[in-house]
Amino acid sequence: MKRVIFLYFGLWVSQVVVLSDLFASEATTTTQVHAGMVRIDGGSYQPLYKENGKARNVTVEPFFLDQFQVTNREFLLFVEQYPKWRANQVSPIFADQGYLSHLDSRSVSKQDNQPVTYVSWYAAMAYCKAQGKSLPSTEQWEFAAQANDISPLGIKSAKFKRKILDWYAKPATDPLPDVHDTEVNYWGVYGMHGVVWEQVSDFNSALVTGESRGDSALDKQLFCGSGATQAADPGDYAAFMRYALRSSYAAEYTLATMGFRCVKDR
Amino acid sequence: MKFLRSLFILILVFSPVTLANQLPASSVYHFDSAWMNQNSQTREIVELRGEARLVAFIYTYCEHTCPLIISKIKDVLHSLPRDLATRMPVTLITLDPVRDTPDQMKAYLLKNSLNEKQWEILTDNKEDIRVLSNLFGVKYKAMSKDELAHSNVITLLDADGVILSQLRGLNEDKKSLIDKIISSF
Repeated sequence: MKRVIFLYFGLWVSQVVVLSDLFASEATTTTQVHAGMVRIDGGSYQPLYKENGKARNVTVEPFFLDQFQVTNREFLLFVEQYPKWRANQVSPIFADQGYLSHLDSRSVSKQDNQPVTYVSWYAAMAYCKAQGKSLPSTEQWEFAAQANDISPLGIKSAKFKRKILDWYAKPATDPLPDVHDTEVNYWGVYGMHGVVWEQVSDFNSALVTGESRGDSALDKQLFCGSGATQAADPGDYAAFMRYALRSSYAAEYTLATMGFRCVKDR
Repeated sequence: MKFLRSLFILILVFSPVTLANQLPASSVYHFDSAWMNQNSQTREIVELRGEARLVAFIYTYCEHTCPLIISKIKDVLHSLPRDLATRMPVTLITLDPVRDTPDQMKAYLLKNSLNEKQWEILTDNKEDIRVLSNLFGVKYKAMSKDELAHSNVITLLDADGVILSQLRGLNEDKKSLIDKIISSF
């Protein structure tokens, strides 16, 4: 009898432990922390293009974004671990000739903390996957990029829009900065504007319309000329430039001016 | 001795085993990934190797184009010599991994009278689907909860996963695709 009671007590204790574990894990999900990432509170976001003539709002769920762009050093660590992504081993369907070409004559540590460039979309996807992360969606990236230093909706300010455009107008001949030496926005994310273009997971969703009966579903409203009449905010030229870049990009391209950072959904 | 060694290397390089294992540089089967079919069986992408096949991206709730893609594929198959028409494998990839469960995919094959010996639908996580869609030059985007916009592309892969021909758009003439299929067998 004593034994039965003891067993019963044991079961009860283990149940309590399980229950308290449950509560504990619930508590950690609400205050989840990932090293090197910041939480972007969700919200509503107005994509650049209207749908059926109407500006639309998209809800962005909260997510975690890397504070910094992935650096040369971080990417090289990944490449060491996954040899199929080495410059001399990568399959040509995953990256063009330029892949990691800037690191050939690499001076030991000078470029270590610069954002990695000359990386294809496939390689960026593989890098994020290896970290248990993924590339941000267009909506996630654009949502986080609306923030200036004091407001999540800094993009509403004409001054901030002007500043982004000035950055874009700067010729890309200067060496890239250390990722830590860039401007930080409201969320604590560094270098969203003015350093390099950044990859998004669904860049190949640009130029697709709702009219999927048409042949390749190419979006006529996005072509030159009529483009601006369909935009929700025609003053946001920088968003046009990003949109244009994405829609002309192919997943194996590697560019001197394109880097990336990763996200976690929770 | 040196001669023997080079002979050995030559044999190694040109042995049938090596040739069979090495994928051509432009093969989409380089994308290491594990998919799941309508019977919940795991399908490593390299398992698709060995036979030429047709590939298209769809989702089973699709009301407008996907039925047209399917009927276009059937149309292409019907234009082939009889033995080829019934044996040419067709792989469909879902663009909606959330809603297209194996059960749903299985029901779709049944509903459209698509013989499982020839037709298969594969699903995976959304990132892998993005990667594969890019390897085929397919664009897509969620328009609402129930609708996806996507390019309409039917692709012919050779036995090693190299893209031989693509029908881009449903109004394109199927003749070039059919010629390619016949000449690749």
